[in-house]
Amino acid sequence: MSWKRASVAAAVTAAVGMIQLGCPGESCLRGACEEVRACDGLEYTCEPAGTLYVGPVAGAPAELRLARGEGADDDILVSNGVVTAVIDAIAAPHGLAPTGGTLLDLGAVGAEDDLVNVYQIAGILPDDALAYETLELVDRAPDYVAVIARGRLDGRDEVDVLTRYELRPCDPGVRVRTELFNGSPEAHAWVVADVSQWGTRKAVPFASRPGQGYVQPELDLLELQSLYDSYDVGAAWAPSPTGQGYAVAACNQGALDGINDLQISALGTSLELVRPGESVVLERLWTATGAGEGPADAVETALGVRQQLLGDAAPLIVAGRVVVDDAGTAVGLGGDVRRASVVVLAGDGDGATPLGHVIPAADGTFRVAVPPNTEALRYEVSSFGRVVASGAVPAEGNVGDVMIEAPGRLTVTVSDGDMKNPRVFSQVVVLPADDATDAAVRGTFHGRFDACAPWLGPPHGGAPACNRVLVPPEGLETFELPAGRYDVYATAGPEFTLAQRLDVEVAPGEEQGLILFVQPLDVVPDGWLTADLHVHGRASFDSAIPDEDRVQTFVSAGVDVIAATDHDFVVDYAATIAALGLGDRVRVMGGIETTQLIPWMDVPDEDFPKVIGHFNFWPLVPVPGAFRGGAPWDELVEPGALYDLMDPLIGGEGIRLMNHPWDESQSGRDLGYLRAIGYDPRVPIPDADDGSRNGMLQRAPAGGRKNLEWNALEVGNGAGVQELMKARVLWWSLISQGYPVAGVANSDSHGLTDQHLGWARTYVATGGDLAGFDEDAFNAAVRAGKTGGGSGVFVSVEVGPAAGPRRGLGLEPYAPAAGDVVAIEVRAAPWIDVSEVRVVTSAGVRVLASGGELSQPADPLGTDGIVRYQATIPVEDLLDAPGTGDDWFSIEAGLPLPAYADLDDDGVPDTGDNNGDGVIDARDVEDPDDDAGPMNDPEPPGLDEVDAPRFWMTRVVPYAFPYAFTSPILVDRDGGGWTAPGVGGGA
Amino acid sequence: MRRGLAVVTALVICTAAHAGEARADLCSDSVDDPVPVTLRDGAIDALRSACMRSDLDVRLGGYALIDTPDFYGTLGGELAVGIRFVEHAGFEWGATIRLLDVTFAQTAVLSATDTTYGPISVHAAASRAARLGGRELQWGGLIRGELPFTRAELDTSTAGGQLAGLASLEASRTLVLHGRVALLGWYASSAAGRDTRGAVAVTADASVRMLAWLSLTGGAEVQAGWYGGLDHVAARAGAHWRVFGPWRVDAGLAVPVVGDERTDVAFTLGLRRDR
Repeated sequence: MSWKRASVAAAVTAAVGMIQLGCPGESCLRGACEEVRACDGLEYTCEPAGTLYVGPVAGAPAELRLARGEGADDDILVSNGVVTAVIDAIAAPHGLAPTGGTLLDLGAVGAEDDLVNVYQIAGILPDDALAYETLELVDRAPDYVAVIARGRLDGRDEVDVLTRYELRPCDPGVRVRTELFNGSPEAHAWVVADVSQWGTRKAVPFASRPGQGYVQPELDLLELQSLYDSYDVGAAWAPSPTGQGYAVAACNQGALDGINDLQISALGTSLELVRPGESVVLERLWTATGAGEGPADAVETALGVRQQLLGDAAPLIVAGRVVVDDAGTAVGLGGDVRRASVVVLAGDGDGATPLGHVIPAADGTFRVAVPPNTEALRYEVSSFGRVVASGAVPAEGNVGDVMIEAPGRLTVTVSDGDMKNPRVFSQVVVLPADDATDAAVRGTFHGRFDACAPWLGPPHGGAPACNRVLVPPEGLETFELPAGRYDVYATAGPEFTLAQRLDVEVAPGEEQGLILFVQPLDVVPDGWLTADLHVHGRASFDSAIPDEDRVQTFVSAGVDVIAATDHDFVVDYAATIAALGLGDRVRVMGGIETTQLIPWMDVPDEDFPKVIGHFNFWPLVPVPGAFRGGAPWDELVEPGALYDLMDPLIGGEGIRLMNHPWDESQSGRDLGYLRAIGYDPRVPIPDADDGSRNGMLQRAPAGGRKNLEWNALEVGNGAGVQELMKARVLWWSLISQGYPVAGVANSDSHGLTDQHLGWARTYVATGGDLAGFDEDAFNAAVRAGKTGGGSGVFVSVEVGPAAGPRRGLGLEPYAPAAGDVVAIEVRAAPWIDVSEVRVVTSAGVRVLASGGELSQPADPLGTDGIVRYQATIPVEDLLDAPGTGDDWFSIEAGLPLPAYADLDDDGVPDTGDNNGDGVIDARDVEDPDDDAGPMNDPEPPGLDEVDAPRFWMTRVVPYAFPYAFTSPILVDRDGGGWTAPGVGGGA
Repeated sequence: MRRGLAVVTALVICTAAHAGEARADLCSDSVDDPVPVTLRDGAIDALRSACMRSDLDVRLGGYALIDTPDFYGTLGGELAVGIRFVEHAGFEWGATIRLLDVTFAQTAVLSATDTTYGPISVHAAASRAARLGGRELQWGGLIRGELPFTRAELDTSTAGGQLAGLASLEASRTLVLHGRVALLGWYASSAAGRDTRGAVAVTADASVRMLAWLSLTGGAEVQAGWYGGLDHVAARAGAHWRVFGPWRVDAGLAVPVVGDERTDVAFTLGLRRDR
């Protein structure tokens, strides 16, 4: 055969062999939206079939709505009477999504939604997020209803995308189909995946992978691809009495590939090369069901999808009953994750694979569906955070009665002595009285979150949470806890005494009653109000504390004024305050913490784009039914432009507060603006934007306000000193360069356990009291610098003639006359240690008094010894350098501050003496990939260190550290106007 | 790299006068053909001379696109086999099959590699001899097309092709000039969409016979329309040498210098056997 004929034959053979009837399919993107729907092979029946609805939330029938969700009036609600979903409007994006068109709320009709949102991505870059341009509402009742979102990849105009959300009668979840078409000329490594933002304290993902369950490998964005795994279903549950279980199963592929993490899950197609002209399609069913029962029901629905569409075998039903011994009778125990929680696993040891999780019903019965598995199954029953029973699961799945130890009960009353007119709101903190109890009762939520001893409930939800209970004034508070020996404390904040009852023995099944007494203390003088100006509640994507509990913490911490600053949502707790009758006990100003999530900002010498960090704005009035409660979308703008957006809303008297200016980033998102831009406090800020990092502060990005035009700075964040030590040097640097602003201290509390409301707090010299509270006057006092901040310690400062009258704090420059003095007074509850008073000037920090020079109370649990230090010091003696140069000073008090050093030489402390050798150097750096850190709060004293500093304080606020500071007084020495002394402020 | 290409090109031109033996006629020796470095998938933009050839071609190709500011990069490599037949004087036809196509793409920290095969492309070309200014000229045309459904990925239907006018001129006994004006077209259709692209390309190349068995080639290409505007002005350089008897090897690379083209460099290495 000739070359030619052989070649022809080979080519034809090859062509015939490769040619198949592979015509490209149809799709909704190509216009076949009626023919191509999601998860078409799924069939559900019910009787009667419910009402189908698709339309604005505002127009949805009440019986189809969710009891709680983020959907605003203009968002789109779809429901079939079984499940309801809300798709956010295009112009109303949430979380990381660049546009609306994402799944915002999902739940059984009438349920409470715990989703932040679920949006779609093709990759990890902002350009790879699906950005929708249009929403089409499709009403084909009684067959189906749908919302079709069309758009492109954000930043890639040639890549078309579409997501279809569909509900049919009787569906237990939303059918979702996403299509992506690569119309670009390049091949890309893409997925089509749902990113579920969990928020870290709401719903927790449950991953059926070896050694996982509720604990997954920590998400490292740089190692993302190595973390990819395959999951039969995705699942999550918010551990609360109302928390729904969520689950998702793919309809058109065998598994969902991706990652699970406490912050986000990303599950979808496998990562593949998508060439020009190719398409990627993902179909799945999202379901939500149950209330307080764990993810079991939702997972069972998801397994049903696999059974119908992928041919999986029927799941095994593991059932049983959790019981306790009640006088010889087995009585069911359940109804709450605290009491009993059942996990079914395959295999043994640390590599066992959790397959299902369920909360037994009130009668102790439980039922959980698990996928068929060849490995031996076993169950674990947890009670109060510890595994208390386990065993093998028989082949038929019925484990029968599982006997566990009955909890004991404590009934606590906290009073100020006036039993006829109870007024005290308090928190009760339960601690193990001995090591044996500590070991026996230390628990977690199935390995997730920090351990608590005892574990009275999930740490981020409502009370009891971790080892804390909220006690209202009017009655008893009874709660269950595991048997053991405990020390019980009651606190109503740092302006009350601390009450304790030691060695409380709790036996299984028995009840104990306690009455604890706390007394008010005159820590904060008249004319001052206490405030916490950085507070989160359930409206934040990362908080799960119910509103009622949140408001109770305002009062139980003894805080007068609150700025409600949820992430990207405006609330003011007005309804809850009214319902609890607390209008005379606390004033809440509506506000917001703007929280950028989409990296975009270019910073000189940085490879990756940044976000601007967090800022608080108040006062704001919530607008019911409006996007973000009435606040604007705050992404992709510099601070100056953000101020311009917010100024009309907060008004001329409003506050623009820069939060935690040097906080570390989370998931690649910067939390502190000054750290994001790499501000160097040792280098002068130029007069105009010169392209440098410091120069960014002078930029007016929208032509209005400059980036540095915040009017307050959060110097203290939390009860410890980590953020204080970083923020204060930045604050001093700004003051010394002529940008003085009020310093405040706040808790940044997100719940009952991590960062406690009122610890720290701001003190504002309004001249009035709470009864006469005026919002404008209060905020004017803040802007004027009539503030101090602290964690349990109060400092007042006055300047003027020795014989008086003197003025107090304020940013109005003070021109001292000859003989003028500074009067300092430091006050704290007896159970809070104070042993040092310091003065800070532009030259640095100097100790004014320490140790025996301060008054120490004889009885930390008594009422005497509140005033710890009083002194009158000539102004000139207070300032470091004698002479005529202008300066400023601030007074600090508390314990001697821990030593920290600046190992990475950026001007801000970053590392503590982590190896305890007395020297802070490279040997203290714990992560070999870092050149500095960590910087930790000092460990609290142990159980037997009663005389150690911080002992009493840390009983009720772990890791608390006593500190206080005042806003600066600007000293105009020569009387010719205050001139900033220049950088070099503080050390 | 671009500077190096310019130096090489200048060197070639400067030494052209000292090259080896002249050829018998314009198309007598395929070593004078330009090196077919391609920038488009499926080699639909492959370059050639106006001379009809009968040969077997085994070719390695590759490209690189590194876009650090956009956190994106892609590398590609392929192995293709082609055959050409001269049916009678002035008419040629042939086919090429890509046996292996490996593509790697990375965006930020995510990467994927795909190994596949296909397509099959067929072509037909015709030319005739003429004289221009007393010099031998060969001019003609080419039509080349990728057969649909000849790629491994059958969920996407892809096709593309080239319609070109060709000319090769014997400028001197050691210098041959090649010119081409081509229309390129491509389409892809899959479940969620359909995309088409087209471009016009004008190329000019020179082959300088340095030795009896060695030619150095260089040229430039201007292409517009694929990305909507000026796709690229690309510089090409290569070498073509006769190894033994009918066997020859060619190697070349192309570097887009200006334009919207994101590919940084493409290269090719071919082993041919004349028949």
